[in-house]
Amino acid sequence: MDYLGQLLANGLVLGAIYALAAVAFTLVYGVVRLVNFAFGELFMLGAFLTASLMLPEVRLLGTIVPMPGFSLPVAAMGAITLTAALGVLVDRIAYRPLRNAPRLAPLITSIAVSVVLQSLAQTIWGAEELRFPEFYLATLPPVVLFDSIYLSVMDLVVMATALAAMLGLSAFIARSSLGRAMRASAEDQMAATLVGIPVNRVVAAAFAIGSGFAALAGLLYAQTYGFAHSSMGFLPGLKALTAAVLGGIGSIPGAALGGLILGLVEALGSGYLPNGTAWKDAISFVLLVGLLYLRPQGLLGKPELNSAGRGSLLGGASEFGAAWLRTSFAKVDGALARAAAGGPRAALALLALAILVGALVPSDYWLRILTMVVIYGMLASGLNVIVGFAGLLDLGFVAFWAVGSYLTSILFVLVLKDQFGVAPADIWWLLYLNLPLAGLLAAGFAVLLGTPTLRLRGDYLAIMTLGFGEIVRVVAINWMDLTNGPMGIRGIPAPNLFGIALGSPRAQFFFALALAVLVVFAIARLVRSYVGRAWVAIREDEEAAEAMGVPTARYKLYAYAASGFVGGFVGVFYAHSQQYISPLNFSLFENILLLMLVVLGGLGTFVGPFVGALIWIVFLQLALDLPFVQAYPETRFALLGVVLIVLMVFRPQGLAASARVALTMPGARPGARRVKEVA
Amino acid sequence: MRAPSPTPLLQARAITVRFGGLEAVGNLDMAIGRNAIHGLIGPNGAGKTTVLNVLTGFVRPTEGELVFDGAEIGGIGVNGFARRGLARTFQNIRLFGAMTVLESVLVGAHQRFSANALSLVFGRRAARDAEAAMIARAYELLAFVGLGAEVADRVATTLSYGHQRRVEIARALISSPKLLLLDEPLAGMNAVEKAEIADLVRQVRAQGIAVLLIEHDMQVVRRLCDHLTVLEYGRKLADGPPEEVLADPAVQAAYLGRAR
Amino acid sequence: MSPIAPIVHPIEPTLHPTEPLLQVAGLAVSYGRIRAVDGIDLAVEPGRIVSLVGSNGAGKTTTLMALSGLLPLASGRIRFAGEDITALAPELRVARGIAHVPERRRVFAGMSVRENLVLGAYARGDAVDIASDLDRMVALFPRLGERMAQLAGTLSGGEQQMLAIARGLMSRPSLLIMDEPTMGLAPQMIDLILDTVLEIRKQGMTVLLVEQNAVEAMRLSDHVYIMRLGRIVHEDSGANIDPERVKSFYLGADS
Repeated sequence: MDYLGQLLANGLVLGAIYALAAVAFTLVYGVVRLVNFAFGELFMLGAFLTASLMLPEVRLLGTIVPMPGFSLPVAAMGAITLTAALGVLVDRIAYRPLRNAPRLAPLITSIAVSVVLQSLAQTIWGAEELRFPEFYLATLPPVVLFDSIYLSVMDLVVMATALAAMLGLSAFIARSSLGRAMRASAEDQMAATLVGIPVNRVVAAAFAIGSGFAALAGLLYAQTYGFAHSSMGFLPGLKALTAAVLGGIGSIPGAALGGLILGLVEALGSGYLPNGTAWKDAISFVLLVGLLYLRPQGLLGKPELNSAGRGSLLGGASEFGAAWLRTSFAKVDGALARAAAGGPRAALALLALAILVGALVPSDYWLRILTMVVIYGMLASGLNVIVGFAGLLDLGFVAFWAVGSYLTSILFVLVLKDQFGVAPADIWWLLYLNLPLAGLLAAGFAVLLGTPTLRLRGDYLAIMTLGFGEIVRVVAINWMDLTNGPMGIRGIPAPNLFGIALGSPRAQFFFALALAVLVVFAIARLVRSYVGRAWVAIREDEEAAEAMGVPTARYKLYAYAASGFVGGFVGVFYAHSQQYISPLNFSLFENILLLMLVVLGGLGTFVGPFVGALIWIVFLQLALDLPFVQAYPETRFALLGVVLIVLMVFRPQGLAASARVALTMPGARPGARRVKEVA
Repeated sequence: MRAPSPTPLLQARAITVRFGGLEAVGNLDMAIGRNAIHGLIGPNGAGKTTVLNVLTGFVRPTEGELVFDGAEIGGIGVNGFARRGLARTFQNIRLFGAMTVLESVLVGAHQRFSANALSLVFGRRAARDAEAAMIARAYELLAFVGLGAEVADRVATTLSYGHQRRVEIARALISSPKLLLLDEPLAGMNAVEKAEIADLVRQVRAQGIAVLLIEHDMQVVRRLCDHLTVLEYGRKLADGPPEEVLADPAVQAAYLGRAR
Repeated sequence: MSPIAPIVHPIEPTLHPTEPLLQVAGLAVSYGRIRAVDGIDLAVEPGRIVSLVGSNGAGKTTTLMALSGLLPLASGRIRFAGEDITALAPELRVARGIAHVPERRRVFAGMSVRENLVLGAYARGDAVDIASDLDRMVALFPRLGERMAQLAGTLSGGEQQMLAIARGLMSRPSLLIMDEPTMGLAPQMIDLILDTVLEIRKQGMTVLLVEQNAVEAMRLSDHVYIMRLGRIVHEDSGANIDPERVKSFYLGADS
């Protein structure tokens, strides 16, 4: 009983923090229907800013900078104000231009903003933890309830602050003129405009309040755990989003309820489940996935929120940007479009070029990098099937990749070598069996993942797949017997063909290239048929596709399966090429990176994923020669994020906007001659 | 056995649709004859589009049943309606954004394809032949709706409004439907275009396909339709030949309002 | 003497005596490549009821939305109360004195009747007189008074229409734009709404009305514009319009 009581108390503290951050998601979603993934980073900034303002001096960008050394309340107010201002700025720059764009564009932008903020924080405050200064209340002896439940004074302060902030916000929304205007804008923007409400300013206010709440949650979290770190916002951000969805996104009482439930469930789960602390992250995501399946609108939400407008993937032409910007985009676009429309001849030319490069590049170092380009290009191609062609934003794709990598590694190393003492060279052929086998297994996983998401669209789909991906990662970390846990699996044999080791960088490059040819060929054959047409039709207008006789649910599953197959297939080679895998290889960040590569190179094209991978990975290496980048390697990721944001704002249709692949089978066209006879 | 049957092609019996507490369609009986051009008219908000959505599976009626071509249909999903032979167009043209005209039309032929993934990947002959046959059919239909082969490879949404309307009709026709449902096909068109589309509708009927038409331009409705159903407040106000129905004082009042 | 206190607060100082309250020249609006309104001219004199009639798709609602700034113009100019408001943001047009009661009412369904009304005064900024204005609205629509605390979404269609009109009046407009205020309403309710329109006008309000019930629109309007395919095809004083002519526009009888 004492134990339970202590767990409940811990759960309430955690729940209060989740609830505060959930309010940020819910408030902004309610007004502009945007899931702002960047709130996790504003949470983190709230912590860093507070800690910095409390200290006498802080090392920023490597230099010691004197700081005011405020007390916690003053520092907190300062941090909240700064973060709120930043939130408004982000909205103004990155989101407002996309207010009428199809939903994928702001969603991708918010992911990019999140990458930028995290990279910048790491650049400014460094990769190490910043110790959160001790506030004098924290030095007081803990309060003992019922003789056995220990709560620090700061825990009580956290709960009281959260409660006060929530009640204050509720009263503000219910009573104040601005709060009323916010509710009116959330309900009907056009009617709100017609009564004279400046909707843009109301949205800015929602961002300010939401960002302030995220910062408050972040500083309380950092205070509780004693440190601030540039990646600290990631998991709590996801949890807060989970809490918001749990309660019914858009509903403030729902966010409070969701936060509390999540906090309690996590505390109880980690206390009572065997090895519970390790699994507690999975608990929240299982809860999320289960809830989205059974009741997508959440506990207190309204069902109609789970719908997305139809329309193209990313949007039409931007109204922004100078003429020169547009012309230069048009040039890039034209070149990419020609590349995409080049047909088999262009494909062969590209392949020949790749072979030539592979044969002539002298440096092993660069061959390894080019091999990574091909691997990431293949993975991005797999993601492209589901996101680019079928238009379903999948943030759980890494799971398929992980399935493939783990299948082959477990079989080769943990089972055959460790259990039965079989030398990998004797069973070299197993790799070739594993390629399709892992593809099928991952396709099966993909269908499992896809089935419950069929009823979901847009943001909810992204959130649910993200939950799946995280579950797979947590399982990979914690199911020690199966995966070796965080230590990963070492000694995965390099590819081998009839006893000839293909371990040299050059051999690996050509191996990867051969697989890439297979992958692109198979995807192209599927896309250039009625299957691809059904996918694109679903992407463009699901209802209309259904009305044309396309069983959209089944074809979405086909897209998941095809995407999963590629992920698993490539995953096998990835493991053998790296010879070492660990759960770190399959993080959400990798998924986000793949998504950015596809968007960069051109969604819904065959070459786009490879172009994106080439640009990014080569840039990643070349930039290392710059002294600035050597000092701050994280700025490269910030730059990628900025490029993505600029792209979305000024060029929402992507770099390769008119690059579209033909969706009819080559060789089945009658040619113009026969057409004239018919006409 | 293709003897013309006197039973109607589509029969809606006692259809009621409620959204929340609101009744959008009330106890509607309606029959669409084989080979008919049937007009569905009524003032704004009368429930016409809701009826069309019921007839294409987009909205499940709260009560009532649909009998199409001798069999009851219901609970078969929107794509099931399309597979049974009910093809539609939309009030605001809904072509697929990034697709060419040819590809858009081919989506309408989806149910005609059956090749599995392996035969697609390996480019089996049967799969290619099926594709070629449907492409040829798509060109025929483009010609039928009055579009030249030269538009086939243009992105459909870049065409003029009138041409997009024709592509939408071709996309519906390629599934060889028994009933074509057109939701305001003449909206936003000038007089010449209207006459051309009306002609096209007649040609569709000449192919043995019945047509249900929602339209506001009564001049066209009067000339084109051979049967009208008038809705007001979700209920049937009148039903019969156009001249008779449009002369009905109740129908005139529904459109022009009653003097107090 | 009406028991209802006046609800009209006309803004006049800048208005030249001969200039209409609202003057529209060459207004054109496009949706993508479709031209929905194709260069129309309108003039609304102060204190009048002016109607736009025409069949579905004629461009009436589009015109109204352009007037209140919800849609961008392809071309044309709008002058209101002696000021060019063509480029003015929609919320500022409300502050200048244009209230738009939109098609299908669009009350804030999840908020109480009182909150809807208070929001109607948002653009005014002067919170002082809101209480007395609420009383005026209740006097105009007693049924709203009985339902002040009720959620607007639970009102009947007619009551929602009353609320939408009252919400528009709360901004103390000098021009009230109404889009199909009788759509989908029962005949008794239609009578009540149209009587209210006359009552408001009697108190000096200027009204621009889109109404499907053409017979009624002609009866109560001082001036009627008939639209067809985005153009104004006919205009005259309400009394002078030949009903047969209107009928031909609606029913397509050969004319």
